[in-house]
Amino acid sequence: MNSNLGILAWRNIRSRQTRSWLTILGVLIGVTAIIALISIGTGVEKAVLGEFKDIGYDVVLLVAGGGGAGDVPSSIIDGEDVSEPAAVQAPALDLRGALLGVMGVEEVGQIGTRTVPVSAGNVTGVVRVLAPSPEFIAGFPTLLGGLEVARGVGPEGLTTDDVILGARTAEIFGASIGDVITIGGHSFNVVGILAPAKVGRGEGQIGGSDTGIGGTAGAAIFQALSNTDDALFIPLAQARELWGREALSELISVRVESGVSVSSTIAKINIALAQRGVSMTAVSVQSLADNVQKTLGMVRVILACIAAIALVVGGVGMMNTMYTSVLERTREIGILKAVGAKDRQVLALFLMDSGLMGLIGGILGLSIGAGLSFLGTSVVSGLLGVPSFSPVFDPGLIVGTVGFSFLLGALAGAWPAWHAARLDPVEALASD
Amino acid sequence: MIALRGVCKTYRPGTREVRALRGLDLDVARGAFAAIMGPSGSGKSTLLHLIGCLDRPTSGEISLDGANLSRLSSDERAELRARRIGFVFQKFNLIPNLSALENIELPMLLVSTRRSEARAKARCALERVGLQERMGHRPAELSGGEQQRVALARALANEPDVILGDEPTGNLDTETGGQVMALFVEFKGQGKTVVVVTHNPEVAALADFVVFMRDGKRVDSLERAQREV
Repeated sequence: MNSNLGILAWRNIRSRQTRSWLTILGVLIGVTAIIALISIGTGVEKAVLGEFKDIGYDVVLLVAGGGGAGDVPSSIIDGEDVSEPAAVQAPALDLRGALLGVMGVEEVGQIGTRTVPVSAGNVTGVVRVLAPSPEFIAGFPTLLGGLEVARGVGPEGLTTDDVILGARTAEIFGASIGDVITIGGHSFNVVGILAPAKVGRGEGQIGGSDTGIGGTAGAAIFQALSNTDDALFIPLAQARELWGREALSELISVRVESGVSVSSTIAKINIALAQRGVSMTAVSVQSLADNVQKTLGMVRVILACIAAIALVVGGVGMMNTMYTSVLERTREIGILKAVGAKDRQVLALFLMDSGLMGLIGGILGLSIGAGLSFLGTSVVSGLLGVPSFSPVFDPGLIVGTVGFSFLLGALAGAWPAWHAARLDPVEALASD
Repeated sequence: MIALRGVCKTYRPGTREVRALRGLDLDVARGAFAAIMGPSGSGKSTLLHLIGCLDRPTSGEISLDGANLSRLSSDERAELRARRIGFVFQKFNLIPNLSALENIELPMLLVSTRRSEARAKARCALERVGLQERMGHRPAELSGGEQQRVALARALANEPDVILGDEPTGNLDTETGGQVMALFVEFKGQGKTVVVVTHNPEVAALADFVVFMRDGKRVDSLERAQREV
């Protein structure tokens, strides 16, 4: 192939700037949409799966009932009461011992939740109480998003009659270390105040009921652990003592021994629970992650298809431009042939012309799409209140999209180019 | 040496049949300057297109230095046009979106000449036709005479043996036409074979011999010596 044809094709694009740019614009929009949507989608998926990975794929969560609803998220309304959330059936027995006896189970933690009236000074409200067991705090800290202590002690320092306040709870009740607050009619000493949770951890979490991913059980589980900013922490033993097991929504977390199959351990857990007449649903973090990945993957494919349609529309626009160009340049094609251009050179010239426009559209679309991705991720994390994340640019996607743009351009120009190559030089020269 | 033997060319536009050439014989020696004259529709341009490998005869033989052009493939004819034949048209036929320099580079780029070499040769060619100051101008920014000189420079780009002119002064005033024809005479002086189709007797007067055509046939021819007599 004569490389000079590339120069000639470039000269043609350059000399018809307005038309060339309008043609390029069609491809550019399609590529921008593909790059932005897929990189944001992949970024979301990576961020969400990262959260699951932090928790650990060897963790199994047990919730009361056959996958029923979890607790209702609490809110703090100064001086106003809210309806008491529906309690979920909690296991009547302390199952820790029984679960530790199951082969393959390494550690078991428990956390109870309940929304109760709270007052401090003249401020009253309804707050979600999170009551973790010491084993939950020690063994499953990531389920609460890795709490950071602003002042005082953290949940691991909790003893009877101690309370640790979430950042917003402390702020609204105006409480500080050493203050006494009343929780469900009992007095507690404030021994710690948490730092505001990371974006997303404090308000709504992966698998939350608002996102609908991860299934109902998964939604309930994560809902129960969300809103740490608006919650307070007391010891599990004291919560059980104050309100009774039945009044608490309890979640049991199980860590499976390294190298042991999670699914077979779940089966053994289910047998152990059934033998004791306990109705609980076991969900592995892995299965939650798989569900999320499947759903996000589907969304990504749909978005990519929509973007691909935009790209194909751009290609059709290019075909129209190229065909019009051949009609307008008939005389020019005659001149090219008169000065020695072979049919295949004319064909290559038009193919390069359209291919180059596709390539330029692809490269520009890639750059603009990348820029939009960064803008989009910050907008998405801001609007949806999910943790901040970065778009992910798969090298295969980049090379594939730019390559496809060139191919699309060349394909769009193929028929007009073939038509041009077959023109009779004498007839072409005679055209006006 | 260009030789035509019994060349016929018939066009069939729709259901009609147009016999543009009817058994034409012609010899143009290497380095000769031939002028083809005749009324419109006599087959002059068709003859030039056949010699220039832009078209194929319906029957008969055309040869260039003994090689039968009628049997060449499309690619071979294109190769011949690129390397051995230079065309100059009445309507100049420059590519409007390219500069004068780029128009001249075009035939060289088509035969894989390196870009830098093509550029250098194009500059020389423009200097040769006195347009070195106008190399960046597009055809629309040039006068008719300047455009035709650019077309001449383009025709010479690949240093062909044969220069074909189809009414090269048809769109020019007398003075500019004279300047352009002086260049044709100069090419002839350099040993190139020149064939020019013209209505203009002053152009024909510069030729070594003139062929008169009517209705696709050669009706007469005059050598320079005969005309001078």
